[in-house]
Parts: sequence; structure tokens; C-alpha cells
Amino acid sequence: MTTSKDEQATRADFAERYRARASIDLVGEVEREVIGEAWGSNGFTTVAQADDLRRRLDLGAGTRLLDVGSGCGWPGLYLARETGCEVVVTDLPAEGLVVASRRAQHEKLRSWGGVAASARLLPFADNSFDALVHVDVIC
Amino acid sequence: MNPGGRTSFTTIVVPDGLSKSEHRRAARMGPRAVTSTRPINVLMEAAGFEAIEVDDVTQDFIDTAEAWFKAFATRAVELRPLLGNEFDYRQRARQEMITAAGRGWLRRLLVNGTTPSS
Repeated sequence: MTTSKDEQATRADFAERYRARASIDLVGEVEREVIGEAWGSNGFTTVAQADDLRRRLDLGAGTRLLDVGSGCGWPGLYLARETGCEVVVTDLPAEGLVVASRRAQHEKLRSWGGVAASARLLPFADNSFDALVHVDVIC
Repeated sequence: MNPGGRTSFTTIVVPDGLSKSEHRRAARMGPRAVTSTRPINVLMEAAGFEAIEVDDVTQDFIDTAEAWFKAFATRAVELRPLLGNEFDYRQRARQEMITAAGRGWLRRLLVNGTTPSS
């Protein structure tokens, strides 16, 4: 897979953050205070906003959701936990997907997948998803 | 996307109407991917979405960025040794985004759309 220099820089940057974050409980405490839950997110989408996305996407059991640029699984895994939908989370840094995998197991999610892929070149066939979400990834 | 599929997402953009120098500064102060110069509804239509709705949620963005900044500042003594240079990098980035959004140089949009039913 070919990636742009910008994507490579972003990937290296976020990979370092995910490695550093994995063992830092204090950052999770701050995240819970700011976002409402701890998912290894450093972004601007709160739990209340994720719940708004959930309603707008009309997610539920039987719905297949794609979350692009999910990092450590936020908000895709959260939305799957809350609604019972099937979810595929994607991002470039494998380190984030490893954290997402651990979290999916912890949350006992049955229908989820993680794919290392660029948002510019998603490896999915047409008609694979009922809903698409991302938060501040594609600008 | 399946027919009748739905998307709902947030994106941070540089609004129309800025001078070239303001646009360059806004792009530098925003997230790394803030580069597109085409309106989001045009991009959505080009991608085949319909029933497109775009809401401005910039104030939510500013509020959350400020909450991150304050929470980190309050715990700076504990967090800076743990995060090293990352601590100051994140705080500086948040401060710049708050400033840019406050000046109207960055906007956060909530975008919704559906794919045609058939």
C-alpha cells in the first residue's frame, strides 16, 4: 500500500502517541473528565456528541458501521457497544488497532473488525456498510 | 455504502472568505488534515450523497478544546514528566486551534447525508 508523506508522518506521530498512552492511566482519567469515557482519544468528540451521531446514524443490531480513522476505537467501538451494531474500525497506525482490539475484547464485542488502511484507499467492496462515521479525520 | 446508507461525521475546515495569508495560517493552526478548499456540501454531492445537512458545531469544538487545555494545565506537574515533549506539543496545538476557531479561521461542521435508495 502506498501512502503520502503526510500520511506517513501522521502515522508515525500517532503510533508514538498510542505507545506512550497505553501505560498512562492518568491521561485516561483526564479523558474521562473531558470526553466522558476513556478510549485513548485526544480529540474533540464527547460522549454526548457520539450519542448524537448514534441517533443520526440509526444504529442497531443488524446495522454494519464503518469508522474511518478510529485510532484506538473511538467512537466506533463505543457505538457498537451501545447499539449492538457490527463495526469495522480502520486507521493506519497498527498500534492504535492493537489497543482497539484489546478494548473490543474487554467490552466483549462480538461483531467487530479492525483494518489497517488509509482513508484514501479503503479495501472494501461496494455495498459493504449501512453507515459511515468519522470524527475530524477527513478535513 | 449500501443503498439508503447513512453518514454522520464531524470535520474541521477553513471557511471561505479568508485572505490567502489567513488561510495559510488557519491551515497551520488546525489539525494536520485541514487542507481541502472545496465546500463540504460540494464534496458530499460529488461523492453521491443526498439529503445533505451541515450544522456548525464550532462552539462545541472550542468548549472541548478548552476543557482539554484546562484539564492538562491543572495536572501539568504530573503529566509533563509522563508525556515529555508531547505535553507541550498538545497544549500548544490546542491553544492554536482555540485561537483560530475564535477568530473564525477554523470551523467544525457536523455533516449528515444518505446514499440514494436504489
